[in-house]
Amino acid sequence: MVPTIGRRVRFFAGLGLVGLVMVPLTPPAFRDTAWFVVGLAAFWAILFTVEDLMTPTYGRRGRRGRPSRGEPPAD
Amino acid sequence: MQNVTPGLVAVIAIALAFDFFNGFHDAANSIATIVSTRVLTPVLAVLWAAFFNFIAWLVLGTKVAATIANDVVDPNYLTLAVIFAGLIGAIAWDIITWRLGLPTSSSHALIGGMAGAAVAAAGWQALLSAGFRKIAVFIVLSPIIGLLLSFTLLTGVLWIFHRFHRVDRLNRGFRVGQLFSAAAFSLGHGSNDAQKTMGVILALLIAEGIVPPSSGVPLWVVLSAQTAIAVGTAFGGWRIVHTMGSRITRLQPVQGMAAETAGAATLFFTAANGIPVSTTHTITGAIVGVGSVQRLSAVRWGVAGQVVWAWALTIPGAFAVAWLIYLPFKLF
Repeated sequence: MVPTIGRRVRFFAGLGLVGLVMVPLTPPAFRDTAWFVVGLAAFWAILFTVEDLMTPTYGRRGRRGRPSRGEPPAD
Repeated sequence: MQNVTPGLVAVIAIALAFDFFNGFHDAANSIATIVSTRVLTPVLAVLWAAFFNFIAWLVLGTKVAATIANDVVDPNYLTLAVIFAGLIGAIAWDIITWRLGLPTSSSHALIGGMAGAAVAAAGWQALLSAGFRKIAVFIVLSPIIGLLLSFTLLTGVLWIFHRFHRVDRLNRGFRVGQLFSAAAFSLGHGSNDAQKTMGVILALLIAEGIVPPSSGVPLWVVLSAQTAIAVGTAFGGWRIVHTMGSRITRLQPVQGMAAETAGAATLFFTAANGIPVSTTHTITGAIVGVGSVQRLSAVRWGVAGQVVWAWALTIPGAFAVAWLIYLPFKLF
């Protein structure tokens, strides 16, 4: 059972990072917008991290109940 | 009206032609999702978008026009020749990218063109860094906001309706909803893109001393710019529709509605704050967002990457073309 972090987490973490870089560059009047981007991207990154950690990729059975490769079919 | 010269009339006509091409090139974004989900036929979708483009100024005001007229190039350096060269540079860039089928931003072409001509005329001090900073930051932020909002909206809608078993009835509801979301996006588009032309014409009128620098946008300028973009929309830009609506990701009505609503929300926010953003950037980000809900591999990243390259090249490209066009004026 090896939980892995999926591509969605990296994608939203990347968006959050871009937003974070933009915060100091954004004019003060619009800085809340940049923080909003960081917050929303971080929200999804955290949510998908939790989902990935709770849903192991490699199990005795796949997520849809199919036997994993090499596993004998159930009777 | 003693300051009205044939040159001024000619440059205003070019500005309105730019607005027409903007409608032709960019306004297709307003109808891409509604056509690709087959909610409306292309002809009806174009008419629908053109109408809401036209009435946008009544709803969202003209703050973006003021930003274009006063915050990009120092009004002291704006002359008829600068605005002429800037507009021709932007139009040339738009035609090049349209021929290549790339959904670049007419708005950024205009800003790049105006900047290029102003720098050719008076050097770098002609540019206003505060205005450029605001525009540059939202070049990056607007597609990301569109993406995150559309992703959040679609995920929320799918979560709320996940127990709904009559999928056909649900989809019918979203098809009706998409009519409203497309109208909202067209309002956002009309408020943002038509105002750029209004801003250019206002800058011309200020440069020629016809209106004072603190003046609002005259009604005839508003009406002519809205008409030009609406007519441009009515002529459509089918190559761009194809790229936006189906090449980036295939859309269902619920996805189209989420993308347009997120795009409209982003455009309403930026228009209300006088920030000129690209409607193309925004709707592309929103379409990528709804495609990502399904799975990241549903998005054709090659096309999205091509679009990003086109964005990166737009301001420098239009800047260079306008700079070259202005050079002959320096001889006189």
